Amino acid sequence: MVFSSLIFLFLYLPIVLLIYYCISYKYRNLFLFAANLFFYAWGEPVFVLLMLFSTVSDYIHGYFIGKYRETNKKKAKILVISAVIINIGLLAVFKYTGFLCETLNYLPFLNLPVPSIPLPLGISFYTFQTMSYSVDVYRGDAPVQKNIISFGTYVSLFPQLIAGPIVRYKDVADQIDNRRENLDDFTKGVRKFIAGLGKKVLIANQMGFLWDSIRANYTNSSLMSWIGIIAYSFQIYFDFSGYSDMACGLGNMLGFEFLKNFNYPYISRNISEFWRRWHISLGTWFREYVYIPLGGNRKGKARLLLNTFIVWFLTGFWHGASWNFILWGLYFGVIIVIEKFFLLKILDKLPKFISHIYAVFLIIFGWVIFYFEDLSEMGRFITSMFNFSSFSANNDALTFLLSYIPILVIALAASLPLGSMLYEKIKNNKYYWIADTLLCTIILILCSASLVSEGYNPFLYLRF
Amino acid sequence: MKKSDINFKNIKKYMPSIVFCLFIFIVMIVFIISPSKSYSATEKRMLAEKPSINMKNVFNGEYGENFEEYLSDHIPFRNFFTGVNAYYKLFLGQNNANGVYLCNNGYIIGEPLKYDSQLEVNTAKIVKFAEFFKENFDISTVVTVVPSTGYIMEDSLPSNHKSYNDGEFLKYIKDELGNSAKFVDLTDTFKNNINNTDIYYKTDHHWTSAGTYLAYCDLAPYLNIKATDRNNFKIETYNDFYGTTYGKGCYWLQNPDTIELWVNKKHNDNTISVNIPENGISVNNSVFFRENLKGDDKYTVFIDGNHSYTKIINNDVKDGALLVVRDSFAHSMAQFLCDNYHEIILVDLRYYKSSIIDIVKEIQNEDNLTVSNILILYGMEDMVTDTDISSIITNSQIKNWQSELV
Repeated sequence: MVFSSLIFLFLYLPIVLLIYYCISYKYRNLFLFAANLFFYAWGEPVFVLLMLFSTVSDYIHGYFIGKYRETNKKKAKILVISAVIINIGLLAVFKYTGFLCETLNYLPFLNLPVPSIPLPLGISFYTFQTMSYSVDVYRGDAPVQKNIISFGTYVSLFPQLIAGPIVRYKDVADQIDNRRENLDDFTKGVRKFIAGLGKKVLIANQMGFLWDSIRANYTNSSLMSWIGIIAYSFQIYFDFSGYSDMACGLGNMLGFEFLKNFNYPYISRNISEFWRRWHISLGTWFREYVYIPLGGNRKGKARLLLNTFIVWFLTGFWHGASWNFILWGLYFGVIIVIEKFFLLKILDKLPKFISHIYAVFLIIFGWVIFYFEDLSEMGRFITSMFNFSSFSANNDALTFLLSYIPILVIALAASLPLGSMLYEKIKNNKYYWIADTLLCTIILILCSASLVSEGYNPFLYLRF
Repeated sequence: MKKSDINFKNIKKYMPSIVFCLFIFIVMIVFIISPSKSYSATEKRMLAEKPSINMKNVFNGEYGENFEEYLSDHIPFRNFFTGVNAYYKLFLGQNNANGVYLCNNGYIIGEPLKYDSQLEVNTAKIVKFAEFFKENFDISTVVTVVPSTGYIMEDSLPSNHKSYNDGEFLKYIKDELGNSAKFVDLTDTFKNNINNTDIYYKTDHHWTSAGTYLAYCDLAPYLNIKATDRNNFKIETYNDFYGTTYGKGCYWLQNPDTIELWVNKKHNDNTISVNIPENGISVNNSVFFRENLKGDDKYTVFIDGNHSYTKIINNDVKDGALLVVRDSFAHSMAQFLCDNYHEIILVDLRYYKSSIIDIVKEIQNEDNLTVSNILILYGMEDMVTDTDISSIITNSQIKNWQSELV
C-alpha cells in the first residue's frame, strides 16, 4: 500500500487510528504489528514472510548478542557478523542476483541464466534497519529488545516500512515501549503528513508527467531536455521527501518521532552540503555503520580515499542493481573528494550565486546518470542536452511547456525554505490557526481531488 | 491522548487534526454506507465492480488492485473531487488537463488528434472498397470525414493550445482517394458558417443537427439527390444535454447543450420506420427515439445510437437505397437523408463483422431497389484511429463473392 492512495487515506488510516486510540497502551504494539503486516501484505502478500524471517532472525541474533556482549566478546562478534551476512544475503539474493548474473555473463566463457526475481517491497530499507539493531546492541548503543512483538513493530513500522526514512534502532528504542501519544504531536503529524501528501501528489506527480511527456515526445530539443531533467529533479525530490514527510507525520500521529530525512537539499552550495541535506538517514547510516568502522579519515589520506570510494560505491549500489547507480554514487564520491581537498575553499570565497549554480548543475547532471539505466540512452540524452544547435522546440512542445510554467515555479518555490520562514514569522499571530487550518484543508482537498481524478501515481523510491 | 488536552481554549491549535480526522472518517463512512452504483451518468461509463475475494487473487495481489479501482470509481463525492481537480488545473494554466480545452464561449473542445498510421491503413482500405464497388456493381462511393471541433473553431480555443492537423489529414485522404471515390470536404462550409450556426455541441464531440444539415446540403449534389429545404422542417428543442467532452473535462459548472430534432413537416406517423434487428427494435413513426431524451445519453435520440445494422424505410419514396458505412456522426444525418431514399442501411464496422457485399446484393436482389451510392461517413477521430474501418472489405470477402459468381 502507498500513502498517496485512496485506500490508505480513506480506509486503512481511519480504521488504524480509530482502533489504535480505542485500545489501551498495552495492546498498541501488538495491534500496530498486525496493522503493519496488513499494510505490507496488501501489495506483497508473499514477501511478508521474508520480512517476518528477517525479523525473527535479527530478534534471535540480537538476543544472543546481548547475552554474550559482556561475557564472551568473540561469540558476540560472530553473531553480529552472522546477522549482517544474513541481511546482506537477503538483499543480495533478492535485489542483486539478476545484476550479478548479467555482469558475469560479460565474461566470454560464461552464459548464466538470468533469473528474474521480483524486488520485495522495502527490502533495502528494512534490512538496513535490522542490521542497525544488531550492531547497536553489539556496540552497547541500544538495549536488547526482549519482546518480539515490540521488535516486529519496529522492523515493520508501516510509516517508514517501504520507503524510509531508515530509522536506526537506537533512535527509537525507547519510543517503542514507552511512547505517550498526545494531541500536540498528533497535530504536528497531521501537518507534516498533509505537507508530504501535497509534495507528492500536487508537485511530484505533475513533474513526473512533465518529464515523461518530454522524454516521449520532445527530446530533440535541448531546451526541452533541460526542462525535462529539471522536472525530473523536482519529481525525485518532492516524491521522496514527500514520502519521508508523510512517514514522519504518521509516526507523530502514532506517538513516534523520526529524524528529519531532507533539509532543503537544492539550496546547497556544494555537493558535500547536498549530501548532508539529502536522504539524511541513509548518509548517517553509511557514515555510522560503514565509513567510521572502516577508519573514516583517521588512517591517512590513502585510506580516506579508499573509504570514501567504498562508501560512495555502496551508496550508489544501494539505489539499484544497475551500473548507472554505481556510476552515480562514484560521481558524487569523486566530487566530494575534490571538494574536500581544495574546491571547498575556493567555492567559499566565490560569490554565493556561483557556488549555487555549481551545485545545482552537478546535482541535475547527477540525476541524468541516476535516471538512465541504459548507458547508451543516457549518452543520447546528454547529447540532446548539449546540442545547442537544436535548442528551441516546436510549437506543440512550447504550448505544452507553457502550461507547466506555473507548477514549475511552484516547485521551485517549494524547494526553498520560504514556507518555513513564513511560518516562523506568523506562528505567534493571533489568527495563525485560521491560516494553518485553511491551508491544511485546501491541500487535503486538492490532493484527494487529484488522487480521485488520476491514475497517474507512481512512487519512484519503491523501486529501491 | 489525554483528555485534559482538549478544552475550548486549545481547540484552535488542534483544528488541522480535527479537520483531517473528520475528512477521512466522513469519506470512509459514506463509502461504507452508500449503495454501490454500476453506471456513472456524468462520465458515461460502467463503474468497476466490487471484486470477489478468494485465496488466489489475494495472494497474487490482484484483489488489492481491483479493490483500489473499485474504490476509486465509488469514492464518495467523486464528482466534487474530479471537478475540483479540473478547475484547479485550469487555475494553474493547464487548460487541457483531461484532453479537452475549456473555451470562453462555453465550449469544451477535444485536444488535437495525433497522427496515427491507422489513417493510412483506413484510407487505403476505403480506396480498395470504392474501386471494388465501382468496377463490379457500378456503385460510386462518396466519402466525407467530419473535421474535429477544434479545427473548425480554432478562434474559440484558449490562446495556448496545440495545433490541429485535420487539414493535413483531409488533404491526405482526398489525394489518396483520387478518382476512386468522391470526397466531400466540409471545411469551407463549416468555417464560413461557424459565426452564424452552432455546428458542434458545446459539451459533446458530435455535430449538431444544424451543423449536420449544412453537411447534408453539401453532400446532396454528390449523391445526386435534392436536399430538402430548411423550411420543410419543424425544429423541436430539448435541453439539458451533457455530452462526452463534458464528462471528460469534469468542468461541472458548464451549461448543458440543447438538442434539436429537425422534424420533416411532410412526414406523418406512417412515413418512416426504423428496424434494428440485433435488438429486435422496430419503430414505426420516425427516426427519433424520443424516450432516450430522458436517459443519460441523449444523443441516442437519433436512431437509437450505435448498432451494427440499422435499416430506415421511408414509405413515401418508392425507389432508391443508400448504404451508409459510418460511425456515430451519421446518427444525426439520418433525419435528413431519410427523406431522399426508400431504404437506408447504416452499418457500423465496430460491431458489424459480415460482408458489406452481401448487404448490397440483398438490397438489389431481394428488396429490388437501386443502389447508386455508398456513403462513408466518419468523424475525424475514428478515421484516424479506428482499427475496424480496415475490415470494410477483405480479400476473403472478395474471394467468396467471386466463387458465388461462378
